[in-house]
Amino acid sequence: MILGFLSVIGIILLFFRHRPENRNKYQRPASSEKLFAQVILASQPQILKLWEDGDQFIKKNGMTCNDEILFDQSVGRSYYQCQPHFWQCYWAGGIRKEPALKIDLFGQTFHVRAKPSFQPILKYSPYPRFYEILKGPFQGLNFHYGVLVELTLDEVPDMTWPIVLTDSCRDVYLPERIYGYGKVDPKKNDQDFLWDNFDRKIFIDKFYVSNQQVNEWRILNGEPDKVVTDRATWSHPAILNLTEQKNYCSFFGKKVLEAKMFDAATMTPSDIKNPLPDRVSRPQTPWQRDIGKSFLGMSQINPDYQLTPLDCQLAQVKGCQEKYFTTDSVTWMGMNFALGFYPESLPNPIEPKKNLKLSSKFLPPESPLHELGVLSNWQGQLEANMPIAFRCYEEVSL
Amino acid sequence: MIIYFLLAIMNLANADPTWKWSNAIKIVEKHEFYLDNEIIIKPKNSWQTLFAVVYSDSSLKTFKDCIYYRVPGDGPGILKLKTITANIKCDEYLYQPGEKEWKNLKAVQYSVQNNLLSISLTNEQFQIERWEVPLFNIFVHPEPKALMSSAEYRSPKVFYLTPHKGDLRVRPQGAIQLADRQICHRISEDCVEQEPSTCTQCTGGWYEIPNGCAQGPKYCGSIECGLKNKPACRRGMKYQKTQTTFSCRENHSFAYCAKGLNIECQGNLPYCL
Repeated sequence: MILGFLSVIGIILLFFRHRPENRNKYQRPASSEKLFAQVILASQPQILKLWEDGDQFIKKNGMTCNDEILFDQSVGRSYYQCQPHFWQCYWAGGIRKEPALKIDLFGQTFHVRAKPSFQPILKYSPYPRFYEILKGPFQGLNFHYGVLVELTLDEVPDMTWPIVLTDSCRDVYLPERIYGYGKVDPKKNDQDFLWDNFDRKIFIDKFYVSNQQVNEWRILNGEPDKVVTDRATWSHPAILNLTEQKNYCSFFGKKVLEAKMFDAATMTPSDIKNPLPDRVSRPQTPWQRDIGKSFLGMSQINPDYQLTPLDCQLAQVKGCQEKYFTTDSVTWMGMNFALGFYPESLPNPIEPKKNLKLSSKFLPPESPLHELGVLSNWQGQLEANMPIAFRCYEEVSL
Repeated sequence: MIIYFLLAIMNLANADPTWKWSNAIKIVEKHEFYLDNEIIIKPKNSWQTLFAVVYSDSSLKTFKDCIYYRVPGDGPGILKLKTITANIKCDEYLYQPGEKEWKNLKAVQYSVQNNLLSISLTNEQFQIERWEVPLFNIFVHPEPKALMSSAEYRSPKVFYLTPHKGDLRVRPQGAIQLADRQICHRISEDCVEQEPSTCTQCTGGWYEIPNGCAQGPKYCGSIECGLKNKPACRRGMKYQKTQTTFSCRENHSFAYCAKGLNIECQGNLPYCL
């Protein structure tokens, strides 16, 4: 009885015992510099969320920054990710009246904010910028494109921490495996052109290069007069001639996407888990091996076929509503816009005259050009009646 | 504001230099004999370079904080910090006065593990001061995986530059770049890497001339591979499923030219004719 009573008292006392705090982890730093550093470092997840997933901060009624970036229902949310103009809008108060990021640390709420430290870009607005685009690499800083920003803390007001945000939203890795190029005759037992990218780190742009991205290049390249000022078209694909397309990609250490890589990114492998398959299939669309089973094949058979919203999400063809930066057409490896949408420039060292994907929103769904592996020729010049988009790829050599 | 001024006053008595080291790019010149967390006791009365922290300042120039230690012997130990430009060896300043010094030390221990730099100073009253610095910019390239971006593969998502007091105008200096046609990845004919790749520093990308090795020699710039009189393009060495090493004269299936052109070998390098 007594032993039992003492045990209960012991347990209660143990519960209320003094617990030594982990001083290193939770102690508030004595110096203002160290406090500043710890709060800024603790804000990294919120800073990254604002940069990479800016679209999640936009409410249903959009944002109030029409002199910086437009909110348009025909533009997918991906447009606002890793988007310097969204960053400018947010910190200028276009998303929230009080944009400071709140960090709870050491029993206090701190307020982190970006500073308008950078020169205005007069083509955009007369106001100071909350960022500056950098073209790297710098010693020890391995990036081609970075966004320099400065962070401050309301509670330690005279300190500033410059950081560089990288573009982690732009491209996507092409897995290392055996790929096929072009169409093959299903009646023959010939695999035609095979290749592989083992030991190569290839990353492909998810979307077409946009007018807004080309504007950044124009400014960095000292050509501000060529900037597209109509914000309504910033999310649209940039229409350049082939030489300019190559110059744009090369400026950021990249190349214009090649035809064989486009095929690799769009032709879904039969067995994704096996990188060394015995046979490499050539599906006719990214979502159906046999085009006859897709809405494109049905349109060829039935002239009265009515396009559905789902059809237009998979491939924007003639008759579909225009949309930009949408992800509904995403392929097996993460690229968008395989068939339909815009004609796309695809330089082709295997067959140099087959360098253009013509499948686009300018052709009706029954067009036989809406098929993977079907390419046409482009002389590389701008054509008034046919805007040709492009995207870049990068092979990283470390 | 009141809290800030109080902290600023307290700071005068507590000059821990590590608050700005989270922007470190790398830790270099680490002492070759001292183990992590070992109490440094030898050689007595000598100055030793413990390590150096390389970081970029606000204008993206690189500097180095050298950390020296006078091992206790006849007198107590002294820890010393000197900031120099990154391309100079710390040993050149071993006997020069530091910008900051911590005297009357009984023991010093330090370690760099899992991107955390720890330093522990014990004074003659056996009071311990501990500095711990997370090294956010130090980056180990991950294995690329599905849906990963090139930015995530090559670098941290955020680079921390040097924090500063007051209204310092950030003016990035020129980027380091290699000119076109300069070799950026030297690979010998027998597939041995002569120097690590510096191709990410090329002004406008780079190209490879395949030579039948897992990695071929690479040059800055661009060429229209596969066209007449140009180097052939890389095709790969596993799609054949036959062998792992290739020689241009015996089997040039690791490269290709545009349809209608033939491969001609110049040494082990395939060209299109």
